[in-house]
Amino acid sequence: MSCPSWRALLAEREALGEDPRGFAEALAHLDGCPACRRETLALDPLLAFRRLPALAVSASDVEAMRQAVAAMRRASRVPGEAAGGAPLGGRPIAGRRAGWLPDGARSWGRAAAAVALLALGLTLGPGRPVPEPPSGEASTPSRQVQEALFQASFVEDLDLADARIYQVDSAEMQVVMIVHPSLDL
Amino acid sequence: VPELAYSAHRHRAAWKEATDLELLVGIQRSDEAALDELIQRKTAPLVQLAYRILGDAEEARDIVQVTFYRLWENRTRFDHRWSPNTWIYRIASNLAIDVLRARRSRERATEPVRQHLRSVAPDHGWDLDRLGEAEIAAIFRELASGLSERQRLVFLLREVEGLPSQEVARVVGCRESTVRNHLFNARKTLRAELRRRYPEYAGALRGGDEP
Repeated sequence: MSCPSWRALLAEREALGEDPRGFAEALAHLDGCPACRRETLALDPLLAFRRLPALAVSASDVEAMRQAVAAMRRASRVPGEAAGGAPLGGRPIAGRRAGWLPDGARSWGRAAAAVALLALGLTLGPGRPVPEPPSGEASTPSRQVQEALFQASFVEDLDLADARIYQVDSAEMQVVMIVHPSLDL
Repeated sequence: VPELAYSAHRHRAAWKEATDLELLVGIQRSDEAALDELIQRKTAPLVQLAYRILGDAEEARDIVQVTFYRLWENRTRFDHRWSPNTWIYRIASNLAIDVLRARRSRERATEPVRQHLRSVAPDHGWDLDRLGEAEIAAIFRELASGLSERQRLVFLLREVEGLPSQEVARVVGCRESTVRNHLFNARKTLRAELRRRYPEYAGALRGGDEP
């Protein structure tokens, strides 16, 4: 693309209150053309703010975000447990700084208890009605497994990304096994 | 060997192929793996937006954390007619504006910024194009202190993030004509402040508002 007529483009943009036709292509050209940048910044210095700096976000930042959000959700489900019972209220700043990340030992104990309770519950056969489980679009666990997991709501607290769940069916007994290295007793 | 009925790892991997809208539908069904994938995709752009509004990296990350939390807590309220980005940006920008209002007075002390820019001027010859990103950001923060929160948000979404006016209107929660009005006033204020505070950078603006 050759250098556009910036004076006309910017005047049209100002008059319309919208980007005129071809403005996006002109901006793409602008990023690679020092002469056009000098001309446009002289005409409209506010275009310099297109270069407002970006903040680097690393993979570990994203993982920290995931853990912090998971911790906030867990804390909101357990009244009084988070940060000495401090109310969440969705306020900014409080979450990560208050140190609501899960306690490793407590998670481990809860996980072991979850497996035991889940196995016990299933060996006793069907009990009370269970709520409709979410329909799995991305994977297809059997309805039995979905119901079991949904019924045992504490399982979601395990947060075991690599967990595998096996199902053993027989005429009198159904067993679901959760396999994860952290549950190795 | 019993049959593998379900794998959390496989379940998470499957969400990587989903669209943003499919992720939000999954989140509405309380699928935590869908939320994790959304966090994976949206953390960087949301942190950028919050950082540009607030100018503080730590606050920006906190805002985004609360955004995802609120999104989860209000997951049943997502309207499928909306673009997922619009809904998420709306939550984040509202939170950022609340923080901005709360700490508005801190932005008044800008004299050191001006002194620094004047001291580096001989190196860049009063050329905006040769200023570093940090200096550009410092100038913006100073000039933007004269904008209302809405004007600042509209300017950033439209001029920096490049969202179309229609989407900006949905994010901000107003009509498109109001967006144009906010944008017009924001540009006018920024130009006036630039002329007043940094006449050496004002270029062709010295004679008036129009470029």
